[in-house]
Amino acid sequence: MKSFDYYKVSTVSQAISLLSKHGDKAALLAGGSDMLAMMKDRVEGPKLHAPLHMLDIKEIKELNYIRDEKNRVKIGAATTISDIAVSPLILNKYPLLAQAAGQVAVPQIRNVGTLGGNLCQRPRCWYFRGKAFKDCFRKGGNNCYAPGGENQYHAIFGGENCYMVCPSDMAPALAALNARVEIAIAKGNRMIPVEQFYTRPGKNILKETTLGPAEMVVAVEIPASAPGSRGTFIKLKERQAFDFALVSVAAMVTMKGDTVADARIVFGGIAPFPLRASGAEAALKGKRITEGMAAACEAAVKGAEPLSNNGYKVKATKGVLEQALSSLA
Amino acid sequence: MAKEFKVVGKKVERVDAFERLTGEAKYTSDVYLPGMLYAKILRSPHPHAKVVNITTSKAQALPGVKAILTPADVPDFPIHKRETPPTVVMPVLATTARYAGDEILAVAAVDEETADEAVELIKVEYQPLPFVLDAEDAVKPTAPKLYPEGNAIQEKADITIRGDIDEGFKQADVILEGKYKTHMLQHTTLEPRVTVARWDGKRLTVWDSHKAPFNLRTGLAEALNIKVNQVRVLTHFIGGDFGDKGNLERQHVIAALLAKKTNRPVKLEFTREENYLGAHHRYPTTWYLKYGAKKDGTLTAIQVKLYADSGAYYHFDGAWNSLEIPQKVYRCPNVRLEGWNVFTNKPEGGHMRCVGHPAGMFPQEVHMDRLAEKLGIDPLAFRLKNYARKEDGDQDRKIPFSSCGMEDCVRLAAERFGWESRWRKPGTSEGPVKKGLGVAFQSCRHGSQFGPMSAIIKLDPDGTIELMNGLNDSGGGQKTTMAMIAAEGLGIPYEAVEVTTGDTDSTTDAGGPSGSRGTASVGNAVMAAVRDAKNQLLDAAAELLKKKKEDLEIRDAQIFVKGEGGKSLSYKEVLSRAPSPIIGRGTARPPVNTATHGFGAHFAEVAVDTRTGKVEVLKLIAAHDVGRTISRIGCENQIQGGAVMGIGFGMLERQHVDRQTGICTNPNMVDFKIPSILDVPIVEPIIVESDDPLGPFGAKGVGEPPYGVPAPAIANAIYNAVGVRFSEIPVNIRSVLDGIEKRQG
Repeated sequence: MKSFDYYKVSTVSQAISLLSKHGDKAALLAGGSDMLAMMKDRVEGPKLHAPLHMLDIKEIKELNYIRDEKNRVKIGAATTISDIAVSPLILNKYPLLAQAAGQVAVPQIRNVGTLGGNLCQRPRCWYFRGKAFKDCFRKGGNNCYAPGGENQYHAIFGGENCYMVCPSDMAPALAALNARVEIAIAKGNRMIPVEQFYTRPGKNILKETTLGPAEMVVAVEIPASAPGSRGTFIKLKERQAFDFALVSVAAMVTMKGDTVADARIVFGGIAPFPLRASGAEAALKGKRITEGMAAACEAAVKGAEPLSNNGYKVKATKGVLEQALSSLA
Repeated sequence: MAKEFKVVGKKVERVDAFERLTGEAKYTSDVYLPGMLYAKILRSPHPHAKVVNITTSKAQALPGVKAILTPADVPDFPIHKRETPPTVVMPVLATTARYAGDEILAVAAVDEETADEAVELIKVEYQPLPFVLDAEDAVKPTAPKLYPEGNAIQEKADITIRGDIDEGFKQADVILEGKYKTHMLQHTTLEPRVTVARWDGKRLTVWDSHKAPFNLRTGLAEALNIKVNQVRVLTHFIGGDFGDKGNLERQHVIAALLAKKTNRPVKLEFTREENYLGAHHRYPTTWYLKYGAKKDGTLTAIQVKLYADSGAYYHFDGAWNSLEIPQKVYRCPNVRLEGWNVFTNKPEGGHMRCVGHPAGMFPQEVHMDRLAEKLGIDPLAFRLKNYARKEDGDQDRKIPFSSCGMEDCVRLAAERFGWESRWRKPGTSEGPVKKGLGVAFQSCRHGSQFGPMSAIIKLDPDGTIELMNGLNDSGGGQKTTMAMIAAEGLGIPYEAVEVTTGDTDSTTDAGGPSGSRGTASVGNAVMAAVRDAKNQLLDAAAELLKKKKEDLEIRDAQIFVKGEGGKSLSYKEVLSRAPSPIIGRGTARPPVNTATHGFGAHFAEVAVDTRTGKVEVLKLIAAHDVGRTISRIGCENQIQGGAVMGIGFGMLERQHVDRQTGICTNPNMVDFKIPSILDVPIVEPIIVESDDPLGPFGAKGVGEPPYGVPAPAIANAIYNAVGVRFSEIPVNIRSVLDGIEKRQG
């Protein structure tokens, strides 16, 4: 690992001022479970450099909480994934989110990994992570190795010029819950829906989020679910512990009697961002779940553009949605 | 008749359990010597390239850098060499890189970071060459050549004919052909390869995570052109080998040369990534099978053609190893085997648990399942009709097996599994999650006696009994097993035996724990040493008791006069009064004209979710004929551990190489997926004891046999559930979903 300056940061404003000063040469350290590994593995490229300034935000108290605020719940960015998975408040109000948290990596990583880190995790694409693949677009190079290479874990939607998939389990879950990300900026805070927090490779190939250089995620705010709502999170993975999603789905339905009044369905693992399945949602509305299910599954994969080795993800996407909806019916 | 044992077959605590569990055990990784330097290797980023120029000036100028080793600095000694043409040599450092990760030069510096930085500062100019990654591509005349003579090697034995293959197919009512593939795997030992080298004048001491210290000692002495007794190898605790870590490798010579050059101790420890690139691998295989059988299920012909992908260098005849063993599971008079070892620009193929056998088990046992279906016979009944009995033995050598417990394995496992009552025709399970049952047989000569076998047992005046034994314990429990054999043989408690291994200065060569040979081979040497010591002990006791030696016996640590109840001396008393310590020496030789095989059968039950392709292994019963159980816990652990690793082989693990660049995409434990506890059922071992006449107390080996069986048993079970056949492993979500889609058209 290359050496860096270490700063123990005790307030958000201190972190923002250091970020403003050092720009993209600085990085935030919370759990560090993946960022330090990337640094040790020397994952670098023409436009990807190991941070020279490490701002340790682990002990900023104002970032570590799960709070009931009447019509919403707020979770601080430095809250660990474990705390979310076992929080009685989350289990009671948003069981879908607790399910997602409980499926992240392994307990040891959940104990140090944080919500903010999970949302901002860099891609796990093995071309991005492999230090020998220097020409990767996302590292500032001129190539995407995935279309002509080993692409069984890559995107079937939204690839454009980069086929990595959003590795987060929390992002699709929070998007399905219609959550917003609270971001600290130089003066105050701004709020942005989880879906809009992520960008597309076509818009910015070097970054996955819309986070500015002197900004940081400080919290996530989840609105109260409408009466009659229920949801579930299903993660399909090759290995049952310590694996990223081949495809995951977070599905929320709001029932009015027997029929679906509203639905929010978001996929992980198949696009470079959490993928909202509006077509599938529309196919369910006004119908009983069992009636709309087949059409919803078909709608979910409409427009999929699989690569040479990941055609199975189309069927798997339909499969996890069918499982999810069956369990909600 | 059941034999009565005091120690053998019992559940005992491992001799080194305390050290291992408390962290007191020192692995090579834990060795830190005063003034020690850290070495790093510069590896080729290209799968095939000539090194044109090396510039080290910037690295040399970096403070803390103590030595740089380039190809020009190393002796012209081949790490691996094939003597007969085409001659294939693996130099200590490569001037032509033959895989992405090939070792070009090495640096020693005061710490790892400095060594890493120095490696980055060295400029190597390469001339990239065309490369080839697949064995079948590599044998085409147009393929880029790794060696001037070409990419394919066939040893003499790689074409074998038993009987008349044409006649065999003529007799067949049903003939079935199939193509199968297995892929590259890496052992993923918890402790990666690591070497520490230190010179004291002319003497070299090497600490290493190595299973065969005497192999390493000889290899190093030859490479450095010194005498073997100038080298001492210490391998006290080893974080797993699984078939790797058995030979002299480049890293050993590099560490020794850097230590010599700097006159300081040098540690060379592979990172996890380096271990995936630079250690050995299970070699990929491509198979063409053609089997023939009569309507009544009698096998009449087995024809196999195999391409074994050696990777960039040649270590041994992998083709033969994969071809020879599987076909011997079944009785068949007409056999034709053809194998090729093929070079590709991939990491080195080598030994991995059970070597070539598992790669051949998968195609054979899936093919047998298909053949049974084509014949309309239950897959278990078809196997039972054809498996090679004791009297059939090794059909190539026409020697009956020394023992055979196959029938008991199958009977006991099938009963517990409920095969007869639960097995249904494929695809009859209802609902989106379908259940299926599968079976596979196994038999191989692993677990017989071969290699050097020697042991010394010291009985000191204070009553200490020390077994000094060159057989290492990489985690398989060999130390415990040998202590149990010694205790049983001497008639003393197991706890009284202390075991010294892992030091070439204080033990004698007993080979490595490979080929499941530890218990069966070295156990015989331990028994020979015990007999020698016991003789001397009885001599001493006879003198004290003023009796004839023949009239004495040892029971429960006491020496009795036969027929005279009560009159006895403890062995400790005898030792304390004996004029000199007792030293028992034992050697053993591999028996000639014998055929010892281990046998096994696995039964698997799976649930396949047809929506998502997810397969859950619900049950795995693993029955093995081990001859005799020495350490019960060790034996069950080996069966369970082997089967779990075999589930990884069948369902999860594959080292991928990018087809465009020839670079490995997953040299890490996140993307190279060994099974987690959530991926495996509780493997249920069934132990069958056939009391082999050649092994110690009737024991055969068990370290390897359980590994290759789960993959085909599970593949067959998935077929039984959803009607999808697999021609490749690992079988995973992708292949299940692709298979279901193909079936639905």
